[in-house]
Order: sequence, then C-alpha cells, then structure tokens
Amino acid sequence: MDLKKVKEKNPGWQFSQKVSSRASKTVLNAATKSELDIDSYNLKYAAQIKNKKGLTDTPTQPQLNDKTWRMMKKESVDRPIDSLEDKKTGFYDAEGNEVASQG
Amino acid sequence: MIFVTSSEKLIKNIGHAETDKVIVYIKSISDTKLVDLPVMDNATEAARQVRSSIEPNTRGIVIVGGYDVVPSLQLNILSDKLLKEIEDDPESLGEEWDVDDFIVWSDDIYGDVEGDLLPELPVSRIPDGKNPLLVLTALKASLPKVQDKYGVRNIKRPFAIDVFDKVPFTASQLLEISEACSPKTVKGQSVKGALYFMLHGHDHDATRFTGELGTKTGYFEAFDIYNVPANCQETVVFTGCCYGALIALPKADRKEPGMAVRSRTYEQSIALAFLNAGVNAFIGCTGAHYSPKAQNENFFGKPMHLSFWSNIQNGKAPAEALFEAKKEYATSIPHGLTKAIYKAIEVKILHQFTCLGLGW
Repeated sequence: MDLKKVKEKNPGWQFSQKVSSRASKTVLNAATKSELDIDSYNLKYAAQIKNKKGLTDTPTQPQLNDKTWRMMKKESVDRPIDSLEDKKTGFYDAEGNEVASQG
Repeated sequence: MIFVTSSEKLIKNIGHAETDKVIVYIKSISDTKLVDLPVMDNATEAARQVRSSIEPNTRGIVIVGGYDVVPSLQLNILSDKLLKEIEDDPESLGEEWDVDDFIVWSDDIYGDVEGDLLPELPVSRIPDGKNPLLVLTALKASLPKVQDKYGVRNIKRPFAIDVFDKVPFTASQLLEISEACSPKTVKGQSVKGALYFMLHGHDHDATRFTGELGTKTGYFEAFDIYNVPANCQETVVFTGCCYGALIALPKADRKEPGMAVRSRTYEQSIALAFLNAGVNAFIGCTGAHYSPKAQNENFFGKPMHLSFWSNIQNGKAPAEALFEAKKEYATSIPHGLTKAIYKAIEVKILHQFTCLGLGW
C-alpha cells in the first residue's frame, strides 16, 4: 500500500498511523477478557442458524483481497473551526481507494 | 421475561416514590419475574445472580437502570488466541489499532447461561437517565409498527442504500443523504416507524450525528438531538453510528477501577431522547463502529444491519431481532476478511451492538 496513492485518491485529508492510544494496564486488568477464538463464534449458534426458518437473505461476502489494505487515521487538512473533529479510521486498498471506515 | 434492577440504587437516581411506581408496574406485567439486586459494581457477579433466576421458558432479560444501577460488563473482546493471531500475522502488525483498544461495554452477559460471554437469551436495557418519566415511558412503549420508514446516511456510505431497502414499511419512506440533510431540514413528522441512521457518532458528544461532504473534505452535521420528536411511539431505531448507544461515560477502555460511571440524561443523548419520546427500542454501539463503503460489499457492520431489519420484517420484536442478528453475524465472521485484526474488528462489532429500551 502506497501512502502517496492514498493521498492522491483522497485529497483534502491527512493520514497518520499507529496513533490510537491503548488502554492502561489497570483497565486491561479490570476488564473481563474473552476466551473465544473465531471458530468458537462460528460454531456457537451454527446449529440454530442452519435450522432457522426464514433465514435472512443476506448475500454472502466473497473473500476479500484485504491483505493489501491498510488501516490508517484520517483527518481534514482544513480543520473545522466550529466543532471538534476526531481522527477517524479509514481502510485503503492498494490503489489508495477508501474501502471501509470507522462510522 | 426477567426484569433486573437494583431498587436501592435506582432510588438514588429517580427517587423513592418513583422507583416504587416502576417496581409496581413491572410486577403488574404478566409472566414476568423481577430480580432486585443489591448494590454491586461487578457485572459478572450481578449476572451470576440473574442466571439463577433464568428458567427454560424465560424469553429475555430487561435491565432497568443505567450502568450505575446494574453494571455493564467492561469487556475486552481480544482473547489471548485472537491477540496471538494478530501478533502472528505480519499484515496485521503494521496496522493502526482500534480506537477503543477492543474494550467495550456489553450487557450480553445477563443473557449468557453457558458462561462463555455469548448469550442464550436476548438482553435489553432501559437506562434511567436520572428521569422516572423516561423509565415509565420506556417500560410502556408499544412495539414498532411496520408502516413508515425514515433514514439518514452518510453520503460516503452508499452501502446503506442496500440496508434501507431491507427496512420494512407499508406507507411512507424517505432516505436522506448527509450532505443535503442537516438538522435544519429534518422534518419531524418523518421521524417515526422504522428509523435507520448510518452516520458518524462521537463518544464525547452524544447529541449529534454527522455525515460527510460529497465533493469537499470534512464532516457535516446531519441530525441532532433537537430533531428527536417529542412523541415517537411505535418506533424502532437502528444506528450504525460510533458510540450511538453509549449511555454513560467514560467509554469502556477509559474506565479505571474506582472511577464512577456518569450516566447521560435525555438532554445529553440522542438515544435517551428517543427513549424519552416513547420508542420501543434504540439499537446501537457502545464503541466505534466500522462499515464498508461500496454498495456491493457486505462486511464489518453491514451484515448486522441487514440481519436486524430482516428479523424485524419477519415479525421479531427488536430485542429478539438484534439477538437473532447477532447469532447470524457470529456464524459468518469474518465475512470474507482474512487479516487477523479485521476479524477482531468484526468480533468487536458483534459484542458492542446493544438494545436500549424495552425491545419487546
């Protein structure tokens, strides 16, 4: 993923990486930690979903080429003066196109 | 149905006589049981006490009171296995991190019979918002009518067109776009029935949702708390907005031990304003939400949105519709994604969606 391409495709935004602050050790210790992996999630309700009548007609998402994506923080070059703007996370493909975002 | 509260704590938020009215009303509902917890700040222990009252015919759990009355679980969704998968994935290591450090508030533990943090029963919460009228209004809220639908989407999120198409209706429909739609243009009479918001939300300000500008850069206020009608009965709201259902501060990754949780009121939160106006349910996230851009993509938040409305279409009550949507979502994680950190984002989305309001 080329940052130059992201900037070209997304004029007016500036980008940064590795800026999200992490929770403190005391918060991490206080929080309840899940013990589940992806397979656990897939299996938990599988039987109920398989047998469910009138299951949603949600289209199945084909495998994505997300190995080439990059997750970055973006913010406006011209910051708004009348309201706070939080840095938001965007996801960019190899061509620099935004493919997903926070929000 | 099991209603859960802590009357000793609820009294401090809404008053003694008002709490009595709430308790009397709950006890007057047929086929319900009330679990009145002592004051406690440990959600795991509170849930353990609730679990002992769950019976085979229990349909769901309704919590009455804010996080300071019945604690929500401060949940780190990153298990050691999931964290190791990220650490072992070279493509994930160079990535930005989740803004909430994958720690969110979750009420699902109250419906978790098996003790694995994944519920067997739908859970909903009526926050008190320090206002007894809000609580009673929410307790008496009617189920939504599948008649009118209204939505506002971020212009940069065309995937929401697909979702809005799935929102059931029989009479009027209107999907507004964030740049054209602003708080000044929202018509109050349209805001009823099945409501869908796909906008930006903010942890520090729960009174507004924003969209983006189409041709220029930046954000644009789309809907604010003044747009919530005074009366909004027979309505269900679904929000794909960051922190849309964050009813208290701090957010979960900032809650240090010993720090008091501060509940929002209906003057400080769009979610609580909708509950005060009589909606049956307000569905949203307690942390940052993520969504795809293109209309043909179906990962991150979108599958949850689609499943929820599909279950509403199939006649489920909102609390049950969200529960069913979560089950469907869990079964299909990671929705075509392969990077470990993106899978973790989907796990976060699953856990942080919550049902506010009665939901039944």
